[in-house]
Amino acid sequence: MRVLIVDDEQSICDALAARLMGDKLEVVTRNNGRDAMKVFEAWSPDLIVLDIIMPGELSGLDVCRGIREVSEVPIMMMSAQAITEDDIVEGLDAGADEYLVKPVRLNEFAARVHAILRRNAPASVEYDDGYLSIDPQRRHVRVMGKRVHLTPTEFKLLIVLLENAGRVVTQHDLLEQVWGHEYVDDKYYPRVYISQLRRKVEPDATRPIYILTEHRVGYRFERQPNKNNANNS
Amino acid sequence: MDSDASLISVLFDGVTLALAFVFLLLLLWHDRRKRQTQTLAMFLVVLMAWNVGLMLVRASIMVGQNSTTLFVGIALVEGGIAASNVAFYAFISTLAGNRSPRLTQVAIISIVAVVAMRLTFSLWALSSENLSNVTVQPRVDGLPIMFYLFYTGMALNTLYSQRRKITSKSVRIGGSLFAGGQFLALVNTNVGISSLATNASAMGALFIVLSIVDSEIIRPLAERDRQVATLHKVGQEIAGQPRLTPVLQEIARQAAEWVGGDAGGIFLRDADELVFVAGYNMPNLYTGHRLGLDSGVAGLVVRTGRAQRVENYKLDLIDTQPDFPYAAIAFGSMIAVPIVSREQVSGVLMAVTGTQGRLLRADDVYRLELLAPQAALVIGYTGLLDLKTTLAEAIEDNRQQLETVLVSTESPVIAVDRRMHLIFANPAASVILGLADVQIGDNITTKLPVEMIPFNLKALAQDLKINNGHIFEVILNTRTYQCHLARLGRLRGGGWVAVLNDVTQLKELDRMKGEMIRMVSHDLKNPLMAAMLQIDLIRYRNNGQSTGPVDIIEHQMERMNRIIRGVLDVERLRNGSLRLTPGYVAPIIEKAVSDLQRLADEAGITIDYEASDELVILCDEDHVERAISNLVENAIKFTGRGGIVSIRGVAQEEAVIILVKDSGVGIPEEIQPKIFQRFFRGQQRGFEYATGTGLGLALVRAIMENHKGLVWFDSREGEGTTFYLRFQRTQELPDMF
Repeated sequence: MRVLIVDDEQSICDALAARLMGDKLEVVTRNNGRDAMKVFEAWSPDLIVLDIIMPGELSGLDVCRGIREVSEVPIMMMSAQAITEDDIVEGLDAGADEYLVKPVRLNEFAARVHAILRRNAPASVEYDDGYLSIDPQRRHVRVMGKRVHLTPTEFKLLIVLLENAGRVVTQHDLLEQVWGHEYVDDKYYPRVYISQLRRKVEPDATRPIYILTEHRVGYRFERQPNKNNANNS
Repeated sequence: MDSDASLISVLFDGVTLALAFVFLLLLLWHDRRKRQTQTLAMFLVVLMAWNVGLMLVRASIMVGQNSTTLFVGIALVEGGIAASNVAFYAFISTLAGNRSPRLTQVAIISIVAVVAMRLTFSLWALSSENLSNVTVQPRVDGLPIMFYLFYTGMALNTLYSQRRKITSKSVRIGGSLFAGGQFLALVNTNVGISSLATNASAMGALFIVLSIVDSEIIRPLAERDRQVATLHKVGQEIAGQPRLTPVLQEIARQAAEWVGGDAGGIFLRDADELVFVAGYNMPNLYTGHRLGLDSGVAGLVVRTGRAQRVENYKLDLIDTQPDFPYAAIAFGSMIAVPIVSREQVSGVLMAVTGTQGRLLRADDVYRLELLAPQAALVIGYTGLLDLKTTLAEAIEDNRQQLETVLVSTESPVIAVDRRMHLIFANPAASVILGLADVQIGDNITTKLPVEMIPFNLKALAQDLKINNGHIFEVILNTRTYQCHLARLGRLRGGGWVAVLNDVTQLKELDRMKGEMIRMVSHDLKNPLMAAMLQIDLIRYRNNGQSTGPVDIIEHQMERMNRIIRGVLDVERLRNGSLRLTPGYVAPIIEKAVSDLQRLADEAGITIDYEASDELVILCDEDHVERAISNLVENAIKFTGRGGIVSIRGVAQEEAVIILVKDSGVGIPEEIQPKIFQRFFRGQQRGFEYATGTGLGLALVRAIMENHKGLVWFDSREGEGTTFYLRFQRTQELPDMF
């Protein structure tokens, strides 16, 4: 597994790299956005760790958006500057799968990296109702036949909900199954990602039909009747 | 004797006297209580008796021997002559103003005596059958002559000596005619001449009655026109002349002319003195003359509050000072009436005649009394005008001062009325709001920059109700203004006034401060993270084992991290913008406590918490948890080993109170007011080693402010402290996600 770490502070890069290499991961570090883009194109890493504030023309958010245009590789963002939840949501909106506020401790960092990589494991359940179709092998999601790009976390979230279709998945279970047990206190993750997911797959995000909120309990995926069949008959 | 001539004479007498009686009736109808009319009536009655007597005498002569009629006639003639003399005198003296009641009594007694004596005499003559003598020569005896000489003489004397009072020529002519007629009747007892005498007397009586009718009825009627004209003129003067003195001078002139006086004037009251302010025909020297209230006729008027009339100034004013220097020499008669305004004598209106002038009479008093209210009106009116002018000047002064202040200030100030018509805009406002081409009174709704319209109308209404003003931010031409909006005037909907303060620099400074704190924190956090990662790396390489010094370094770094986080948290909370959602209180408390359980165990302190499950508040859960854990951490820090920290969540009406109580050292009274300040650190006795950033309570307060809640505490040194957090309770149910 290849991890690209981008931070303008070389000693931080070194420490994080040393820890991940101890876990038998391949690590490349860079100190600015431009170099990071080059490495991403040439080396195709399995995970990118990005510092938001970096010198040079490309900030971490720019890099994140750039990568998201062409790839669904997991991205983990780090920032010293997160002040409000809004800042964090902005990072996640840019396509990040994770948002860590500095200072990040080494063991926590390693745990989260592993959790993300785990999240990317292939799933087996399929779904197709004519409007929405999910192909877990190729990690493709289509809406009305058109491919939509989901981040790995969004995809994992959809898969977890789909696997439990018709049943309520609690917040706690969701955090544990999608993000990993390290995340059970990060309560805002499901809220943010569910709304992202709804924007991408629901016909009308304000009146969801697939991903329903079970008030005070959790979320539930609801299968819809097959549109093609309905049209044919 | 010519009986035709005699008949004509009798007819003449009858017509004349009938006329006189008609006029008398008119007078009696007009005012029968007037003494002058009463005496006149008496005079005419006895004159009539005399004439009737003569007619009886003549008739009895013509018809033949009717001795009884003759005797009655003679008695009537003699009694009539005597009585008419008395009545004539009584009338003249009444006219001259002599009111002695004795006069009437004397006159009545005299008449009764004459009539009684004559009747006795005639009866005696009848009984002695001496009729023929009497019949042929009806003569008048000595007694009537005595009466004539005495009373008519007195009356004529009065008529002459009191000519100042009895001004009517008709009365004098009539009196003379009467006296002459009487004289003729007495010197010649011949009936023919006697009829001439009665003619003259009757004419005289008619003259007198006519003159009285003239003075009592006709002249007052004619005077009405004059009154109306005078009052009209004074009224015009008041309306046309805003200044006091000219109008008062005109009133003084009208007063003097109306009563036929030589001069007039007005005193105004000034505390305990009278000041002569306006005169007509008075020496200029008198203007401004001051008179004590205890002197002069004017002083008397003020003291009594009633009109005064002096007939002879020199004689009547002996026991007091004269109104003016040399007044005793110059003044003849004088009338002074009070000028009353608001039930107080505020001045005196007077008219005087010279020593050789006319005598001022009672009805002249009435004329002045008619004029006095006009003067009062003028005084009140011009007083109001003066006050108005003074006020207007004061207001204008203030207005100019205010305008100067407003015009010269750099802050835009703009005022509009209820319908958004411009009332005022200072130059700064004209430039900044782009109102250069707008005139006062124009509607500026469409011309005002749209940013100037308050966007939060609910907050506006609330603020106006509570604070009488509303503050909102306006950005115009890249500058930020704080707009203070207030109602103009006390009336509802009287208009609006807005003052704009340029806070661009303040905002910029605030922004820079925030930015700086963020940057510094960032620049601190990166090296801190790098250092902490090195420690983690050391521990990782030693398989989780670490040495004492490494632990100490790590501990200090964590502390540094807490400080930085605290600064950033306070800054972030100061900037506001929280997403408040309904949340259960119990789990928040539980979470806060569980994070601090280890710290409490190490310090040997028991934490005991309890909250009802159903309590829900509108909050940002992370922040509330932070506030509670800050308070609990403080409580642990300042409580000795074995102490108890208890946390409770309780409902209180529409609120939820979370209280954190410890059994610690308490907060000394002198530092209690400071504990919520940023970077304040209490140094409680025995707990000097307690560590902290001095941001914990500042953060608690910032969090509570953002939640529109309250934080307060009770503390007693040595007994412990209780902190209270008050939140708004809500019935909404929390969305778990």
